Amino acid sequence: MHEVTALLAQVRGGDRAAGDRLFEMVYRDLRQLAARQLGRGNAALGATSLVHEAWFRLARPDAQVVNDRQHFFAVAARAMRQIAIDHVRAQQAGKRGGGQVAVSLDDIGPLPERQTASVDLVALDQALQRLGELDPHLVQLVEMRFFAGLDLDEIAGLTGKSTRTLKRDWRKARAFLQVQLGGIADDDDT
Amino acid sequence: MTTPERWLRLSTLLDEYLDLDRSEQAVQLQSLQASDPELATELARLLAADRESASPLDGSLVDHLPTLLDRIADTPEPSTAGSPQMRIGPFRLLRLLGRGGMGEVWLAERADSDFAQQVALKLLKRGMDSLDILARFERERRILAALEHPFIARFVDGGLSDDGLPWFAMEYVEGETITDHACSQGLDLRARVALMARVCEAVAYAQSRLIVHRDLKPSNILIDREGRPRLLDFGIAKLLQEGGLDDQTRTQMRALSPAYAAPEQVLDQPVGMATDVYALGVVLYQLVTGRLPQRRDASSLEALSQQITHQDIARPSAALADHPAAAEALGLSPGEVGRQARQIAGDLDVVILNALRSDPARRYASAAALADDLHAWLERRPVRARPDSLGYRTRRFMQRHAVGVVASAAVLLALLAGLGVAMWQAERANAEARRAEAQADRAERSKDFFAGLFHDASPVRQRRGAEFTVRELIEEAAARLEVQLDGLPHEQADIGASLAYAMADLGDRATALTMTERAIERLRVLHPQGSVALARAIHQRAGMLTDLGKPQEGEAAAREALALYQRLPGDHAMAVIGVRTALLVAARHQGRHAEVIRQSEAVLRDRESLLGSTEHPALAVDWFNLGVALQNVGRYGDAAEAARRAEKYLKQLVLWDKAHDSARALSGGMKRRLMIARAMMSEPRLLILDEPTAGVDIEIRRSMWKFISAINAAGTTVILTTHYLEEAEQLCRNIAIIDHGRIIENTSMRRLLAKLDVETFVLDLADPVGALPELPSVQLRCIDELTLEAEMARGHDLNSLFAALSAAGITVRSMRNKANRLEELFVRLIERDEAAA
Repeated sequence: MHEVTALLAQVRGGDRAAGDRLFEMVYRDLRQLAARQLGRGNAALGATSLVHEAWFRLARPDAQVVNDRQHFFAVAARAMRQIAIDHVRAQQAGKRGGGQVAVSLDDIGPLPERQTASVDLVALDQALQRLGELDPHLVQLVEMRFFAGLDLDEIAGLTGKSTRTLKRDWRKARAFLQVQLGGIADDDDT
Repeated sequence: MTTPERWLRLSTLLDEYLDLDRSEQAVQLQSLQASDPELATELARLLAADRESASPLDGSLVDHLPTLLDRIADTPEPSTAGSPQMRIGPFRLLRLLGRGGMGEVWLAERADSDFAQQVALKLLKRGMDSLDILARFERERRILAALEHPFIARFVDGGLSDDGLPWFAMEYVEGETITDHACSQGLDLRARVALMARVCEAVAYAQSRLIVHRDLKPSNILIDREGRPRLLDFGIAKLLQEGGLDDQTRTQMRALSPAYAAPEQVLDQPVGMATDVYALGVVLYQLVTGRLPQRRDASSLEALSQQITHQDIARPSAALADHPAAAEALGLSPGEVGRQARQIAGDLDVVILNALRSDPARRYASAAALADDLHAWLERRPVRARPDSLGYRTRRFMQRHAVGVVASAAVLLALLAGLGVAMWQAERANAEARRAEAQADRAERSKDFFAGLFHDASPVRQRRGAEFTVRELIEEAAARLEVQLDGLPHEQADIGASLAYAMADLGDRATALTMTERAIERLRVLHPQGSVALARAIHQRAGMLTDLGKPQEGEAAAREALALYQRLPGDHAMAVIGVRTALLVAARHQGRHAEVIRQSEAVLRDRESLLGSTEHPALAVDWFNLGVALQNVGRYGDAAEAARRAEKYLKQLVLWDKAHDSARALSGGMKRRLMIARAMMSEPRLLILDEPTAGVDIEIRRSMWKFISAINAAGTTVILTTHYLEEAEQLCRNIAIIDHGRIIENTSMRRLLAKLDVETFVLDLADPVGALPELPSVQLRCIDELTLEAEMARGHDLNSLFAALSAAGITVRSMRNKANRLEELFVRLIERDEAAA
């Protein structure tokens, strides 16, 4: 438990290797949590709690610094992204002939508000990489919101940005990614 | 979008453009087009993407992770319990259809027979007591196998595998879930409802054979190629839940389908047919709105319970109108959303909400009843479901406003008093059937009135933002009474009197009196020959007059009520006793103490004989009155004895009241009085008084002060709040004044204290222990538990005060008595009210 706090402190001090170790640790933990949660049969119980649970398990008891919390959730969100991508890649590797697996995001939960929406996670990952070259903050926002499931208010609390700003940023990121994912044809404006 | 510099420009432009509407954007884009066509094109593309209503990014992956994680979880543990070609019972496994928390589902076929029967075979995980499950299978198999309905997938067989894993086989159904089906087929509202009606019929069929599903959800409601519903897993949940699961597993089982689980399942309360009704209600809600009725994403059972208990369910029509994105997923165009919402508004709203009530007893009793109403709606006949009753709404209201409402519970109690719960002195004991019926009808209409009051976004509530005070509620109700119930003078009079009663309990007796007199006017017109309702209202007026310091007028009114009761046909013995009680209170206010003692004893005896018992809880009020009377003539010992009797019955009263159709049990004022009486009569060495709430009437307060002065003169230390400063002048020594820590800054208060020129302790509740050394070493006898709790809620640590007192050798006797707590009493009354409804 103390390890994460120590790592967070080292990260604060600019230790990049510590950052990597932190990521690995969070990644491992989240993956276990996810598997365990599923094993318990709670699949539908909102996996938003995953990152929160990881936070409570790994860091909170002795994390003192506010920045640590922000950093931890940023790392956790990135780990969630990685877990999802790794999973899809593993699946693709397992399938002879490869081909892209479109993971439907609407398998469960309420009737889809986004009926046709399914996302090619690999394409999304690539689009995020491109976005990262342009505007890393937006990537972090997408990770926190889409991959970690935090809502904008929570993210505002973590990052110290206003919800209004975050909403604006989110629209930008979303538009960028939509275009990248090819969902948008050329200008249909009149 | 290739360089960071270019993105920075786009980003800045987006900041500007995103605030514009589409036509403004177009105008701006045209001018940009002229200067930098490439940038304009990219920007236009981004803006178009921004407008795109359905992006996979709008959800969060996390919401859908289970799908992904299902497979992830498989990765490190690829082995399955079953494998192709494995024999399980008489079946041979073919391929894995799915796996989840409970186990695996295989497509299998009969191995020992020529006819190819394909089944879905569920192979359960370990962790269940296999022998017990097996025994249950034996018992249940016949019942489940007899479940023959075209819409229900048949239970085929079950048993224990060679590896000792329980399994069961169901008819294999190919189809899509009902929600997918509705979307893919673009079913319209009526078709969706009709489909659900058929599903309900299938569930009703099973319920008629006393089989409850317990885990209905879209994935268990498939629609086959012919468009017929096919329900899976009937009876399985029960089989598993009751059979040999350890506690942990049981908890997990309960958490299986949180989105569709009825509250009683999550709260681990008994489940039954109404449990299926709830799940059907959720699916129906989802089918017509595209949304789930409640957000249920809590990660722990406890948090989930909270979510379930504290969230209101929006009317489906409102949910649809408020969330067009969800509606679009239903295949509706924006124009149709409004139309469909209007179709749902009204009866279908009521039907769905009725299925979704959190109290199972208030839902449709069975799937058949729900099916009936769905058919009624489809055929445009009236539905049987009714909007929520007042009692239910009141309780929801209380749940939402737990803290604020406790203080007002007495008032709400009084509100209910006139609606179904008879009044304390009322003559319900000998209500004839005919009158009861008439009352019930009236109560029903009154309830609708109140339901509307609670329900509507009232102007009052809007004015205050979100909350409204009970007083405003009453005023609002009184105002509406004139308008909405115009032409229903009986209801106007009846509810008017009840509202007046509530107002009196709030402490505003002057307004209450005006309201009561208005009701009396109405009743006199309606019943020129007099009526029970009129007599009751006059009786009520009598009490208010006395409370307002007009005991002579009060006495006159009471005599009028008495005469009226005696003139009216029928037996009003209990009501008459109530009026006599009002008479003796009026006499007490006029100082006729000897007479009051005689009358109190007489009333007590008469009620005893009427009840046929000397140990009846309803005697609490008489013992109390007698106690006050004895105290007034200085017979403290006898008074204390009377108070003990009153207290004893008071405790029983709560339970008695639940069991019997008694009376308006206790108003907050009544309880308050008893508590003060109890405290005073024990002649403590130290008396702590806190702020009086509404309901301590003038007379009691006056008599209380008389007594307090006496014991204070005799040496009892009195601890007061500043609410009693005026009266404190009458005291002479050993006074402590508590001011919740504010006293130090308040100069006028300091002046007053100086003027009092008495030995004064200032006990700062924010730091009670700090004040301790100055406290006399006495027995602490009286604490008003309600106030105490309020103090603790405000963060004052009275426990540490008690602890310190104990350590100093001072006896602390907490008067807390849970059963007496007002809010509990109130809830019980509501429960009874609902049970009676």
